[in-house]
Amino acid sequence: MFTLLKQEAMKAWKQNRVYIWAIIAFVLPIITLTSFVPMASQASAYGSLGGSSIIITIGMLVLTALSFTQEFTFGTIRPLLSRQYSRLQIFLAKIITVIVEYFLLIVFSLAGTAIGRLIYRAMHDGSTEKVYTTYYTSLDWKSFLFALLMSFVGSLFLMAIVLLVSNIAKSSAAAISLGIVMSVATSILSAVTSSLIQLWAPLKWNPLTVQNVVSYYSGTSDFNKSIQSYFGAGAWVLFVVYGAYVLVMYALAYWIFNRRSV
Amino acid sequence: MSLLELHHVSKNFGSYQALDNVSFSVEPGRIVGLIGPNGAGKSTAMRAITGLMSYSDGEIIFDDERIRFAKNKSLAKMGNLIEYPAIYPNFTARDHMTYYAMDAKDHADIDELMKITGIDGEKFGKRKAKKFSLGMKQRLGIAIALIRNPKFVVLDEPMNGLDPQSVHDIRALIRSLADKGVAFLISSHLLDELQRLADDVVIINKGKVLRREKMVDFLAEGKTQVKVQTSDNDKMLAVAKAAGWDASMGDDRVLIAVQGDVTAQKVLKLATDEGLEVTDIQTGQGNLEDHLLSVLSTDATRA
Repeated sequence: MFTLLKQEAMKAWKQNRVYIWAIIAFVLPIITLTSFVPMASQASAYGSLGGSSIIITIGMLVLTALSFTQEFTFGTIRPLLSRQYSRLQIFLAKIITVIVEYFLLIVFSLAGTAIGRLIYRAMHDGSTEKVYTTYYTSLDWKSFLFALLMSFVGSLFLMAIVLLVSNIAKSSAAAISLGIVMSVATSILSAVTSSLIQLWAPLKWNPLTVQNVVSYYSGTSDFNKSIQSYFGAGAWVLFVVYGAYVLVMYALAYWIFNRRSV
Repeated sequence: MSLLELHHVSKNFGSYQALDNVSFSVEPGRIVGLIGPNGAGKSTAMRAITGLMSYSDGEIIFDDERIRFAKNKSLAKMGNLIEYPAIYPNFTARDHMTYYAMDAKDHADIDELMKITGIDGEKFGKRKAKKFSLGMKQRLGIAIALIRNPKFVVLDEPMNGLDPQSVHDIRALIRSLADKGVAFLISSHLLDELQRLADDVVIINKGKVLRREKMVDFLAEGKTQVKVQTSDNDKMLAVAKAAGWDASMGDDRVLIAVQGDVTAQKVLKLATDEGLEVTDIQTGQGNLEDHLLSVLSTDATRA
């Protein structure tokens, strides 16, 4: 398994150039926070990692899709599978690598956000505005990191969809497009699912709604009450359902991967 | 003792039978040519052997372990190049060697293998594979198939896109490895090349194995021919057939099979008796291509 992870890491670095995504994730928040985000919006901009959170999500979806589809495109799928390793090991190595890449991008983005915040503070450190700067650039680290964690948990579902489409269609374009639509066009999807839920209440347990709520889960008592009120169940039930959806999606993707003759 | 054994292997794609009760074996140190027309089932057989495709019936045993679809520890000892080289465009040749060598503790010496297969040096070793020519990719594909020091190597069209010097080098490499005990299963449409390289031949057509024997025996069975060029080849053909001989028209001469009482002297005598001027006459061994076509033709007639 360690060998497979080393090989996947080599492909991530040399073939898929994950460092380019890392550089963007690092530089973007520095630029946006120091040059484009006004003082009043600084704190909320930290929540989106200075704009790089969407880059991280897209990057993760692209890397997930590529990790499978490019093996078919390059013809490397045959030597990849014709080895002593089981397909489950190969599948898991790819998933683990993508998750590690995700955390790598998060780390770079966090560093960029922290540096951007420091630079902004230094730039606006005049005696008259210091008090405002301190107020608007204050950061609740606990809530901030919890939101990042929930964002990651929510992304696992998007990753599973991309993985599934990659293995069914063997097309990066189709998988990435679907993933991006699902991550960016959430408001459109929410409107559609809300309309359907009004027609039949149990549809509120659909995977898109569940994923959306999980992604924005803050852990506050107000949020828990909202979940109880909407779903008629506690937050833990929501997480169990979400976990089941994610597991089913990954299991389905693996089932297709495992059965494929190449 | 055989390194690879196929016992009554069948594979269906819906109603189409790609492999029909295929059985053959490969011994250590032997180079086996797997030949047949397009769609005969060669690639399907190779994919089943390398664990990349399931098969309906029968069994494939490699190194005393059964090869199953998607689950094979013994594949650590097998190398393959099937259809086209498996290359990551942004990797250099050395990157590929490093990457594939990770699979085996006792892998081949990377520098030596790169040198033997001609993918070393400043020009190729540090260049990204996406800039390689077809021949370069092919040599890299062969190096990849050999990097894990395999006991058995499956090569599908290994000489594809190679220049004559590369063909010579790769042939020498394969032969030297076979002399050290490595077995090869090679499919190629370059039959002249296969004739020079292979020790054994397996002929497959429409999913069935038609023949499996030593190359020398197969070639010896091919017809020795008298090839005669005369002032009127059409007339020569007609009189040879009238004499009851197995004759056919070649490019610029008449080909008469040596069988029964046919000898070069008798062909010469017949031609001169008929008033034909003989400008050239030779006796030649049949080649793999001729004999393969003959075997396939016989198979088609039976069907």
